[in-house]
Amino acid sequence: MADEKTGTPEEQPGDPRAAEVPSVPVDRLRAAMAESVEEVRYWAGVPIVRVRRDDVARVLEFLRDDPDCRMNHLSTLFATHWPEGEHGTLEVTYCLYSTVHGHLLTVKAWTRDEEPVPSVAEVFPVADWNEREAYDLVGVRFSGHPDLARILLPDDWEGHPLRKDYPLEGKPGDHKSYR
Amino acid sequence: MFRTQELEINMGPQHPATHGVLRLLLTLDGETIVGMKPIIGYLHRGVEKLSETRTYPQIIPYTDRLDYVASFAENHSYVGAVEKLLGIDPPPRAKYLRVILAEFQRIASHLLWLATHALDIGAMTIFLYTFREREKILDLFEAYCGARLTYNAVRIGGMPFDLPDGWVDAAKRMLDEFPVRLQQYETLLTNNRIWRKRTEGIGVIDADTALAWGLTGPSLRGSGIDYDVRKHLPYEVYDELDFDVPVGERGDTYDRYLVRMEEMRQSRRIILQALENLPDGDVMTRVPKRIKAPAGAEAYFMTESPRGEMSVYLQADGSDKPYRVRFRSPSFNNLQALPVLSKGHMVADVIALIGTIDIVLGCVDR
Repeated sequence: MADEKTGTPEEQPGDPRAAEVPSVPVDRLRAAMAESVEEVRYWAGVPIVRVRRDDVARVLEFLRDDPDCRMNHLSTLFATHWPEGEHGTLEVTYCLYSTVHGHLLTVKAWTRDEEPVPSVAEVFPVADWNEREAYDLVGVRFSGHPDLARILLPDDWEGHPLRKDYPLEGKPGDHKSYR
Repeated sequence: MFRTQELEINMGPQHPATHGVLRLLLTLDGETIVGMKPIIGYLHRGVEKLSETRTYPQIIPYTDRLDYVASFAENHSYVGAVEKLLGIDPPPRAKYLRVILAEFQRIASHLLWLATHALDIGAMTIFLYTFREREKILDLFEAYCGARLTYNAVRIGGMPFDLPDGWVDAAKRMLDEFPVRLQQYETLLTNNRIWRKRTEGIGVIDADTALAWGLTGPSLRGSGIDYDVRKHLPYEVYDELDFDVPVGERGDTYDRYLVRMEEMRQSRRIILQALENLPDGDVMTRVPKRIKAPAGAEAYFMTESPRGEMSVYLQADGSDKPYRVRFRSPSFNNLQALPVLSKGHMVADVIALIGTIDIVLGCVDR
């Protein structure tokens, strides 16, 4: 159900929940780093900004340091697998909040297998474990991460369980009693 | 001849003071901690993957098992995310009930934290007292929903039940005697010389560092930032209620202790106001039998759980199951800061520091 205009999986046009809301960080980002911003959409009153993958760390650093944004709290970071995604197959989502101004913002970057996303662990130390988890469970690579090892699963685990093509009931041969 | 070298030892995963299955790889110089590497995942159950194969309402019982000593907060956080995703507004009475139960849950969770934190450090007595009060709160939960630990007591669009007869009076009785009990705990600890020596100046972290490392909740507020989701991004009816957010000054273990003690008083204040203003009416709004969210919809809902910011991110694909569920667990992010807190301290202080960040391994590993 991809929307033809924006190329993203889109809700029905005119849905009030997708209404645009005024947002200082979005305005600042568009003014200062226009070339990095690829798309802005809204859901439930929160702007969702898709940025160029290679600029993610710079964008987050700008949002953290800009006096009008001060997005000093990286609430969470996670990855989603979209096998048929328009802009890539792996989507990394960063949820930011400013404890100074109260802005909320979601930043997204798209990538594919083997194409690493710049790590933001230098900008937000909290990203360290969250990026490890995104690598462990979804298989996103992060370049410049201090120690990109598995975190929740055993070190010798194969595959990334939160991928949509990961077998839900074991791999062939796992259960000998199954046919 | 004599030779010194750094020593690497494992603390856990079967250690009684690690509050579950946490393994810490310590690098020691004598008794001083030079390095620490937490190793987690022993309790990983893949709840985010499980959630992708269940319908929206079916996920609620799974959230009980994340932070199993404050499961109401997790229920609430997940259901709030679904309601935000779909634009559902629960009736006012349900919102008040949620606030009342969430604050009771906060007191119960803080009492458990106080008991185990003090027990780890060596103050045994207080454990017996706090569990007496916690028991009364669990009784209230049992009277409300039948369960004492895993409540499954929030529904998309409201609450499953109204309060049973006599519940409000029982709650008020508990709250009436609670300040005296808190006073008793404080006489045991607040000016206890051993307690202060074990907690003051231990694990000092300044506000900016704490936030950069993702500390939230009382662990962050001990450093002097007043970031509390209930005040910053009010949900339910928190903006109608009058309460203070206690903050510390020095950012050490003792300040974080004081913050949590004051939070219990503030929670009591919130519950009393909510009971006073409790509106009449339904506790459930009309929601579709099969709950579906349009493709492209996504919502992030933040709540203040007893341990910190508990948030849920939902992505929908148009079916009755979420495409992706992300549980932002406060324990996972707080634990990450433990090596920062413990650098240069003694091995014995690690016990105090695990207590002060108040982790639950079910919530860390999900």
